[in-house]
Amino acid sequence: MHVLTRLSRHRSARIGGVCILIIVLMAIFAPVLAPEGYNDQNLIIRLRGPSAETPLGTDQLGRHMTSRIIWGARISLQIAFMATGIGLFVGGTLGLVAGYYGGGSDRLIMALMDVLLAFPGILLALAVVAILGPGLYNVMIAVGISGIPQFARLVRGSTLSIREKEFIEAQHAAGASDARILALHILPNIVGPIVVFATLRVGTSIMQAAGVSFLGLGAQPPLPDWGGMISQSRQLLRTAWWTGIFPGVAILLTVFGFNLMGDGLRDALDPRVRIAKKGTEAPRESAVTAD
Amino acid sequence: MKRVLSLLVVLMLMFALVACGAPAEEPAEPAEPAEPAEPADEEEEEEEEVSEKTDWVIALETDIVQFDPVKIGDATTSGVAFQIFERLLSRAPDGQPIPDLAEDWEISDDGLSWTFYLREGVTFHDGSPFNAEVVEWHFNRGKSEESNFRAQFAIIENMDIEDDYTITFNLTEPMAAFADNVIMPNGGFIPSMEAYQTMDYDDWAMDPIGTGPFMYDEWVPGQRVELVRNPDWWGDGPKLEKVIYRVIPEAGTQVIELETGGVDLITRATTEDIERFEQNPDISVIVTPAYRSRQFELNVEKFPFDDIRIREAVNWAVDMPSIVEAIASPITVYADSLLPMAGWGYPGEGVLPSIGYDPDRAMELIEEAGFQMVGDYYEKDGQRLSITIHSPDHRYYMDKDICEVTQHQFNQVGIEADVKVMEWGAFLDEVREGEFQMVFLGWNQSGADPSLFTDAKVMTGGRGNYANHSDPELDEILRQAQRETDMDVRKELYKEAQILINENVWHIFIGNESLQWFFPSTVRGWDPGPAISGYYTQLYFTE
Repeated sequence: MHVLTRLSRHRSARIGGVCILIIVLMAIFAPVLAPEGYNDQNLIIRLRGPSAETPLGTDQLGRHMTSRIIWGARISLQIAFMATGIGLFVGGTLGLVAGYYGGGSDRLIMALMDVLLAFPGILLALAVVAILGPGLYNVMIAVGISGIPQFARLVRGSTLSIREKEFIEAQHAAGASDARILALHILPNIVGPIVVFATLRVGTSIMQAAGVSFLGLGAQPPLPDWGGMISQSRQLLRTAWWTGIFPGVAILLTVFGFNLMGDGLRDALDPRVRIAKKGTEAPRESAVTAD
Repeated sequence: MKRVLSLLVVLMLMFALVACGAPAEEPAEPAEPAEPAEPADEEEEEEEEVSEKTDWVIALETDIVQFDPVKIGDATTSGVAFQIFERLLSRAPDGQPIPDLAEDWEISDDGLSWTFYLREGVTFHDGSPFNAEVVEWHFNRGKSEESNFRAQFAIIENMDIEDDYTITFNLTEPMAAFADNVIMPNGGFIPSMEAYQTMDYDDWAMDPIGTGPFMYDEWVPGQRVELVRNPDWWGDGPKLEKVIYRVIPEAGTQVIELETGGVDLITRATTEDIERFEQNPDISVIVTPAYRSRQFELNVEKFPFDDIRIREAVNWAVDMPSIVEAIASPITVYADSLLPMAGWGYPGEGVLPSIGYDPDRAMELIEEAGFQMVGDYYEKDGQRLSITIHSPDHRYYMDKDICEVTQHQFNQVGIEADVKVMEWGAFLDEVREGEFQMVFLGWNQSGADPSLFTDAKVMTGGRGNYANHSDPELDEILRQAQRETDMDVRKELYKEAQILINENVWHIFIGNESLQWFFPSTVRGWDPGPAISGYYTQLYFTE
């Protein structure tokens, strides 16, 4: 309860929360909120600017941008959560194993992660899409894979710092199995930074997925993927700016929201902040950042 | 003959000058490209000051690949090679064959021997002479296994060198349109034999040596290709010092580069950009019909298009004339045939059997074929009626958008459809393997002869017949048309062929894409048309 209370008092977390809430509501209630389906074409009204009937204008096939952006929230959140989930699960498991057991498995896993880390995230995602082929699910996997090394590193570091603590030794002495120690004693103690990083990572995933889609390798038409919408608008940007600007704003809002929320969570979860709150200002530096 | 031509050139130049004052939408008659112009043109041009700018910068969508003429398979390399190499014959603005490296040619009465009288005193860029021996060597390579144009040249049985500058091609059977085979870029481009014999093959293929008005100078991969003036060219000109190709894949970037002076020529822009250009006095816009057809090809060996009723149904399901009109006009214009409307083989509108737009009729046909609506889509024996539409990405004008609308209209009649957009290289790989149900494809030719389209696209085993179309009756008509020399009979044969093609319902026709050129209005001496867009020898800039 402490954490949630602090979070609700945190200003940037509140702003971030509102952004996320809007996007999540859009995603969940798209069929109700969107006036039209995402692929309802009407060639007669193609490329209309924003007006009363077409609030955010229409695209080159006469589809309402408003509806497409609302439906697009679904796609973006799907990609972001799935990708973060993949990174979290695979990277987290690898990090736990490496950090807890150490030795050879640690060196092997972390060497592998270092190799992956050597590539910029977007490049890694592109390479994976190049292998798997374009498509919504492949983008999820690709962006997910590019998040694995970051999660692994974070979880390993946190695990290492907990592993040598007395209460873990006590568990060993009491005869607890490795699985029990990992699940019941280590994981709960490192969940803070993981939650913060995962939140930030959702924002990054949306950016990366939009990047991949922009290059034409993401969700295939007519799925209303924001990145894909911007990509399609490249040709029209000088004559029909609304086809590119509004999906861009949607991406911006979402990423902004998740980043603010991540910041807020970090402050709320970080014990050092708790102490600093009594003083004059909160220290802003933290080990947890998403690139 | 020469005098008449010279007179013609002067007349055309005068006309061109008059036309320069006219709006850009009415292009002047193209000047004769190959013949020497009269010195008279200098005094006629006194009103306009010739600019010091002598480089002509052209935007390319993709980079060049390699320059072995018999292996060039992409339009980009072809366009660059066009400046460097020359052919025995070239095309007049109306598409008819005219002399190039051959000054004249004769066809024997039986139509089996074509004799070419070669231009004397022509040398390649490496100084080696151009003669009958080179021609024989080149066309022997052209019909060999290593050539991508062996199908076009297979009709050459052998060649007889009469003397250094006379060569006779003996054909296996009479062919009325053989001139088109000789003219065809890229197999018709004649490279230096001496260079081929003295150089390593890979070096030779990347260092094109021809007889043309421009010489290959420099290539920075992924960025630009530079050509320089050939001072020893046999014709008049070129007036330019350099032709520079810049690789700019993005259409939007090309438009900006043109407007800011970074490039001088772009060949594609959106409808919206064209409207803007037309308001801009500094930019000339030319849009002209071309021999470029666009269609969805239905793979008759794949479900569900092995059933002609489904092929008909998908045609009824899509309102293609309206789609093209709404999103691709004026650049693409709907056509009801595989043959381009601009060519002589097209019999006119309303002559060919065609299918209209009637979604109810489409659903009836699908039901006749044994499908039943289950939920939103049709099914037969548990198999969903689903179609994947292969689409290239900005290769053809509005390709992806047309695919999306088509997909939408399919969905509305209960056909589950999706669009698979692929990068060009990967797209071609799958399409050439026949790994598709339905694909957006185009076929571009610089000549109007119907055989360039029919023999490649719908003849059994044609080189562009990726959708496995085959009809023995049609093949017979096409072969007959190849041999026939009487134009009226040929025209009638190709009409019959088109009727058969349409009755087989192998396509959903999309239309003909025009050619477009956007360039500074200070350009003179160049009037692009479908057959002659690459002639830059008289091109110059005014202030």
